[in-house]
Amino acid sequence: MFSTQQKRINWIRYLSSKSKLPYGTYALSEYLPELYSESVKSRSTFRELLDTLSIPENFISISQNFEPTILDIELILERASEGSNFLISAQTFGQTFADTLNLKGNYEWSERITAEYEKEFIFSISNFFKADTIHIKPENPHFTEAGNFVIRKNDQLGYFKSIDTLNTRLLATNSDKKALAIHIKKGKGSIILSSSPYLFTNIYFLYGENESFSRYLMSYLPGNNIHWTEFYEVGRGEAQSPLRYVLNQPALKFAIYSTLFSLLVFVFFEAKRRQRIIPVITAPVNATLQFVKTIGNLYFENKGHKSVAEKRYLFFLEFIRTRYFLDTNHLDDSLAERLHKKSGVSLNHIKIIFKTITHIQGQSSISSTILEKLSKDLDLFYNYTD
Amino acid sequence: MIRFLHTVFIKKRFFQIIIGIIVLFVFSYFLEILFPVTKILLFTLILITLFDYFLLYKVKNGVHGVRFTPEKLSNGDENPLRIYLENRYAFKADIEVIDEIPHQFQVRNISFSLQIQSRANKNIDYTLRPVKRGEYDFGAVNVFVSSPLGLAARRFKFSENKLVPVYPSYIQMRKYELMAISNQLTEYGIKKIRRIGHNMEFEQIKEYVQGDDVRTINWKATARKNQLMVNNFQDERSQQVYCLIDKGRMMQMPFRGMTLLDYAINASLVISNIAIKKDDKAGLITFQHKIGDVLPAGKRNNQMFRIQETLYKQKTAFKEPDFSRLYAFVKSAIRQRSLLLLFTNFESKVSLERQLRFISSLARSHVVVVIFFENTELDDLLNSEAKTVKEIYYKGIAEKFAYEKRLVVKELNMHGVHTILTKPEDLTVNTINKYLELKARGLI
Repeated sequence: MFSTQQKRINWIRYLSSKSKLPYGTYALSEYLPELYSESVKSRSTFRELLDTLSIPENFISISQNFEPTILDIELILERASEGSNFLISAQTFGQTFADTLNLKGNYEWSERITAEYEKEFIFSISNFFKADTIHIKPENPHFTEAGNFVIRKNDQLGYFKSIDTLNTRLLATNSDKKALAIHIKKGKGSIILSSSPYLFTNIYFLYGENESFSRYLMSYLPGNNIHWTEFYEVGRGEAQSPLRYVLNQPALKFAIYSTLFSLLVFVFFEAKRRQRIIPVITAPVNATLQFVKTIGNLYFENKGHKSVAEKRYLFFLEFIRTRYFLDTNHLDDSLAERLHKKSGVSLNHIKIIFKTITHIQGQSSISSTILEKLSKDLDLFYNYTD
Repeated sequence: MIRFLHTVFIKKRFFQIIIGIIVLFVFSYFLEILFPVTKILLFTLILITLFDYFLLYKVKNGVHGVRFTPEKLSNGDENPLRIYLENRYAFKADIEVIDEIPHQFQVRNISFSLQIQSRANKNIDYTLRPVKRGEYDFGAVNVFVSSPLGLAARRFKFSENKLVPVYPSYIQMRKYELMAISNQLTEYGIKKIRRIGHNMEFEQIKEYVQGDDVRTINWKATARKNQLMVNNFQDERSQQVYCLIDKGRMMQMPFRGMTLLDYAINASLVISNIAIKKDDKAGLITFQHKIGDVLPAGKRNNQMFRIQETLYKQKTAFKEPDFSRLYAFVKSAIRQRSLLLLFTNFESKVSLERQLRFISSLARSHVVVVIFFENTELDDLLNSEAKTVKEIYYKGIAEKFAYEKRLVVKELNMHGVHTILTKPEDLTVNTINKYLELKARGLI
């Protein structure tokens, strides 16, 4: 029935209270409210958590690696001495934290055996506990419910070695008498360290009598309130994104939803075609101007000042012939006189034009200055007669 | 359902208000007192909008409309169109009309906004100027109606899918036809030419007016009437007028969006009509690399209709025109001395020289008028002042092209060919002038 191919199980170790995977802590999160009438979950650091609370309370953190900042640690110690109790379960502890609690050298931690680790992924639930397991023994004579608490060797990698017996007590050991959980007394309160965070995960929690071991550890957190912070396992998660904040404010929430609503309305009712598609038809283009410019550029490249000047004065003479009906064979003073009378352009100007034209006719090539002068004079003439 | 959704629209005002409300919501984050008020505003807006839709959809055919299109459109002219709208709602309607005019116009923003009182009607008049012959496909008239609340809009569609052909300019034809009959052509720039020659065919005796030839005074009639009377001789009748339309490469050039070919076709239509009204016979020959359509000259009732249909369906590949074929064809097909109006275009003297011998040969047995076009695209360049040396070059070249056209005129005149060098817009008027002038001078 439980063939290996039947269903792939996600064996990822992620101790989130929302995760129902084997290594999630959903079961614990369901169970906590039964033990404590006031149980609160959060994703804040201890500093943030402790800053908002003033009276002594219970705190729990379950993570694979517990790495608080120095500020967190200071507050933990301060609050512990005021009467708060902390249950911190982790496989490895951060440098600063270990130093403060004198764990350095007193905590040994072995690597997970990789070969077996890889094999785990083809495990089915049924033979999960068939691998090498460790039996855990609670070290408290008053705890009578002693049962068979089991954890796989690969999930129990850290041990506390020597114990400062003045303030520290053993809470649980394995069959080799190695400590798995210790109780450190600090002033009025206490800090309980457990090196087996996986014991709180769904698969262990729901297996056999393991659940009562969690209860055993939590019995050191008296009272009816508890704060569980998941920050050290899952971090902030999405809980602190700006949108989450915005959506928590009713006014802004309405603003956002109204915006989305109006966008939807826009898409459905306004972003519609109001008239049919008009395909692009390219109209024929009159390229005369471009043609003239191309030819002009060709002349310009060759510096054909004279030929351009010829074109300009031929057009001018044609203009005189067709507009004033004058014979332009001889550009003499009498023609200038008659043109002056017919067009009204000053005699001097006309004479200058004629002189320039005659000058150009006599040359084989001309400079651009003369061309410009001729052009300017002709344009003036046309401007006047228009 | 989908058809229903296609009629639902919402106005800009709705979004303006909702943006205002969103801003208020943001403000109410800082000022909590605003929050409930804003919430009420939002729900009121939604309710009013829904009510607005109710108003619009309560009446089944709230707005009735029709687009009146002519049976055919006239090419190159402003054609009048009319949209008739009737508001059957109980409120004064705000109306936006988007007309789906044919693709050929490439106009994407033809819309009208207006208001119509309750149970009243209005007309929208506008004009379209097609520049290409052919079938034009009108889409629907989209009418977007909104109530005075102005939040919601409903779409109505009318007069969908109407196919209208665009014909050569029959509007101009009618205009000049009326003018020709009522002798008012002078108003449109058509010159009165003093008759030089005389026809011997007597028409009537009429009262002398200043300018009449004193030699034609009929003394007997004058004596009888006690008023100066002159003999009136009628124009030569039943002469043939052929429009030869070059459909070649050079006629592709567009001015104001319309090709020279279409200008020529419009002018041919007008001149044919006038010729028939003046009791002459009008015919048509089109050609490019070979002879295209041929319509022998006639003046029977349906000749005008045939000319119009032939001109309408002219298609061309704008190939190199073959004047030798035209010459050969005219030589063999047209026996009677006729007026040949050759619509073509020469850009330079060189391009004329290739065709000159055919044209001048035609001129031996017919009266040939070569009609070609000034390049108005160059006008701006010709009238501008050249400032830099490069501009002087451009202007020089432009002047050369203009000059060449005048040379072409001279060259043709030297070979006994009449010419019209005209701006495309003035083509029709100039052609009529020439026709009347040639007729008055009795040259045909």
